[in-house]
Amino acid sequence: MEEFEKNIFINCPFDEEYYAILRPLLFTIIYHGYTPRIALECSDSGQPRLTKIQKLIMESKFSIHDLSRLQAGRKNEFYRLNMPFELGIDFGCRTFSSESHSEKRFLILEEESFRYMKALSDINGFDIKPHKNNPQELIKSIRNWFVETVNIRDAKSPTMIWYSFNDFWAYLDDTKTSEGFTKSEIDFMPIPEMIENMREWISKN
Amino acid sequence: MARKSHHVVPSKDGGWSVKKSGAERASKSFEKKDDAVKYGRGVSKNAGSELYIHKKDGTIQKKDSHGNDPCPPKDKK
Repeated sequence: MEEFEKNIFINCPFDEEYYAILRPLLFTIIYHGYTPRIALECSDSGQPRLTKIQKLIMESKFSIHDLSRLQAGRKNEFYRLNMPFELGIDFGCRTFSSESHSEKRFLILEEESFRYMKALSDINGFDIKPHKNNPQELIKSIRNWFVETVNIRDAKSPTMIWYSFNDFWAYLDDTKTSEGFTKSEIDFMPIPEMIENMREWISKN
Repeated sequence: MARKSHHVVPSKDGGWSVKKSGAERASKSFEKKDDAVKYGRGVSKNAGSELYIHKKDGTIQKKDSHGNDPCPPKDKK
């Protein structure tokens, strides 16, 4: 139960382009003492993806759903339906499941304010914050959501968290370079490894 | 013990700032990254610290060592 209170299900794209947003997203969650739960946290080819996602949703009181890829960015690119689909599952869990799940809280991220209205107007009224595809805007949105939703009173400023993220990445770059990692292997390391390094650095700083 | 370092980081207004590791505020901010790097190099040389030049997403573009490089080049003999 204690884990449920601290778990945050992350529903977002996993392409390399999105890593610029995903890295500070994970960092900000761990920075505030919460646990990001993400489909990439373990690789089990024997478990269907949807089963894994259902489990993560059931085990998390909080969720962050990034719908910023609702619109295709290039010609002939498909827009992504996984994120709104998983938001729907999470909403269903909150609505139709047990009493503890009725306390689930969502943050919905979008690239721009109100753009979602053109594609998914049913979610009007939810807590939706724009990140403008900018890591600093993203940190501000998540930090403010923590203050508003979890009532964190001593939250550091978004700028301070951004500076800490930059300090962390310099540390990671040094440490992993000395271990023989290339730049690309550091910047796109597997998510569980990145999370573990963030946890370790944050606990010491 | 933590090493001394300075960082050129993106600032919120779209410009670039120079900050010391662990600092809550930037030492100075600039509109252009080149100007921030120039200033950062001077500060870092004077302090004998590492200078990390970050990309817009916070990852590392380049590092200049003006102190004891924690990751010196490997001996190739």
